[in-house]
Amino acid sequence: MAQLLSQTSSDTNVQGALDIELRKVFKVFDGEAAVRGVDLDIRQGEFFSILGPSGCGKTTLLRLIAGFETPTAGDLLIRQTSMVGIPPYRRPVNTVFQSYALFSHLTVEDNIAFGLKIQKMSRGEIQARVFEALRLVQLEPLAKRFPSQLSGGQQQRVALARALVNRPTVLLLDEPLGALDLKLRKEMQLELKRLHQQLNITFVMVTHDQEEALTMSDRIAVMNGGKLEQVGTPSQIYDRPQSQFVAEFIGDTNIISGKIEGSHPAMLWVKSDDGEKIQVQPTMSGQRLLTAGRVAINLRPEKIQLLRSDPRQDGMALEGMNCFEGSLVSTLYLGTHVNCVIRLQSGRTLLVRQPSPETVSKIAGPVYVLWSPQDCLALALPE
Amino acid sequence: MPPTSPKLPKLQISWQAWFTGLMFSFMYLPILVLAFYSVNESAVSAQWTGFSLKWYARFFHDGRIQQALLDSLKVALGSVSIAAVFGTLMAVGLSRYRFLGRDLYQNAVYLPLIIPDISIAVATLVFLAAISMPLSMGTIVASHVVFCLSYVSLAVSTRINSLDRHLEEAAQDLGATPFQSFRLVLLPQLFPAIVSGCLLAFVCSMDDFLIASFTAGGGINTLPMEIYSRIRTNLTPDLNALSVLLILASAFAVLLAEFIRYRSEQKRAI
Repeated sequence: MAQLLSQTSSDTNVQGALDIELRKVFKVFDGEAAVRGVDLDIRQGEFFSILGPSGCGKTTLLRLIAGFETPTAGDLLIRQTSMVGIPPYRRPVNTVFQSYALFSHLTVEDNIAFGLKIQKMSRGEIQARVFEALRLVQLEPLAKRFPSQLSGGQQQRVALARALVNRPTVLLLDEPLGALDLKLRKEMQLELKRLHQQLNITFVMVTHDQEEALTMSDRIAVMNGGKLEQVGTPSQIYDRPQSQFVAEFIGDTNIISGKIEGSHPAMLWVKSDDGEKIQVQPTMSGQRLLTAGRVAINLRPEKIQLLRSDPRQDGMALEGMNCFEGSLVSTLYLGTHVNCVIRLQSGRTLLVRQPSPETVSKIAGPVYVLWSPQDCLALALPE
Repeated sequence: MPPTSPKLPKLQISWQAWFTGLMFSFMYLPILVLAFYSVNESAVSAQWTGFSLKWYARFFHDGRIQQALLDSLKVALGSVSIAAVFGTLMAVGLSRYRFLGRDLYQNAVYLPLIIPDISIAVATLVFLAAISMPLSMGTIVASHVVFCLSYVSLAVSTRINSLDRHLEEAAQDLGATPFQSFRLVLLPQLFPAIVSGCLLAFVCSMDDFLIASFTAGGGINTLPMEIYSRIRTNLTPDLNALSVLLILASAFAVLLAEFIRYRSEQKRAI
């Protein structure tokens, strides 16, 4: 079923070949730079997400690729061809808009056929391809309806089919699931993943939802203030954030700022501003190892173990582990897990995620937090 | 037995209802009186002598009225068709492009609706004299285009500003050139607004006496001009009948415009 649709892209799909290249792209609106010198390679066939808070320039970046905006400076290539000066209607990309932008005066069928009719394709082929696209998004029974007669999720599928039927090199998705409720969004996430695998074309999705980006993407670019903060796989982004912004934007995290007191190729000793001595595995700062200066330690809440009795007295092997005593301040029940706030003796509070509510339901008295140096990450702070 | 109240609820009319009723009678009572006398058999308006449709029948034999109606229709159709094209383009241009003096232009579009007709009439006449343009039916059409443009542009602007800005982008994304996206996407979306704007403009053009009488060339006589000249000589009941017909036709046009607008909004309510 997907064979027809994916023909164009799978024929030429070479491992590692690039679909989109951005070279020092700038975009300035009325003296304000929305995109500042972005260098980005998007590989053929990957599911690529551009993630960032609102106003970070991610939608502008997508619109630059689609051709609705022209770069103020820099170059943009799709399949090794410069797209500067090429209008949107001559680019091998199609877009799914956040608002779907369906043509309300046309039926579902005619919406999907719009691009093919513009290409002056024969009636028979249009019919075949529209039918195939309808099947792909499971909307065959609704072909004769008007967009206003469809639910939000169905409209989303029409928008997808309308873009995919043209067999674009790259499918651009601008916050495609933003307007759907949570349950439908989860469904559509799976649906998008399925389509991506089935069609084997490059998907570029803009989103502000970090969870969505993490679960769906092959690679993610985190954007802030018009610049790329980090580009990498979801696990690189989550486990090895390269900047404070990325660490805080992706998921919950505890930030402990302090100063490096001693370093060793295998370990860093950091004294936090509140006096705790924390051992952290060393990290690269640019090309070299971080050995001195102020750092911010990032510690994911789920990496911390919560114990009711002092592990040192229990005779646990704590060599090289970080262990502190504290007390439970509050708990927040979240269904699959519990978030606890622990106040250490120094007064610092830590967010700790526990898998089951029973372990923390009624804790009075001291608790102990425990984590290994491998589970936290020191990022250099500017002096 | 359950205590079902045998008493009828006391009929209470709120002051708002009184006020509304008063307003409506103030607006429509004269028209009702007019309609009443239009079916009066008597040639003298003041007394009722019986029901008759003879005043209505008269129009079918009145060549002058028919000629005037024809002139009015020509003027209205001419000016509305010109205004439909330019008013639409104006609204699209104003909402989709940014250019120097755009805000000023946007406000100036609606000026003809605010400026008194007499000012437009005198200004047009003076202007035509200044450029030594002989008065004709063309000059009436030209002066009617001025306010018809405003009606069409107003209706289309309202619609276009409520449209998803991404619609044309979506069309271009799917391979349509800017012209194709205008013709295949924007125009069909705007069509109901264009029609309803045109109907309003049409009614106003048919209705206009002042501007037409200032800018009409010799031999051109629109319906309002004909009615006015007849009233000056003698007030005959056939004018009552004609007025009733005009009111009905106008009301129908306005209702039609409103219906088209309403239906299109229902359909597009996504």
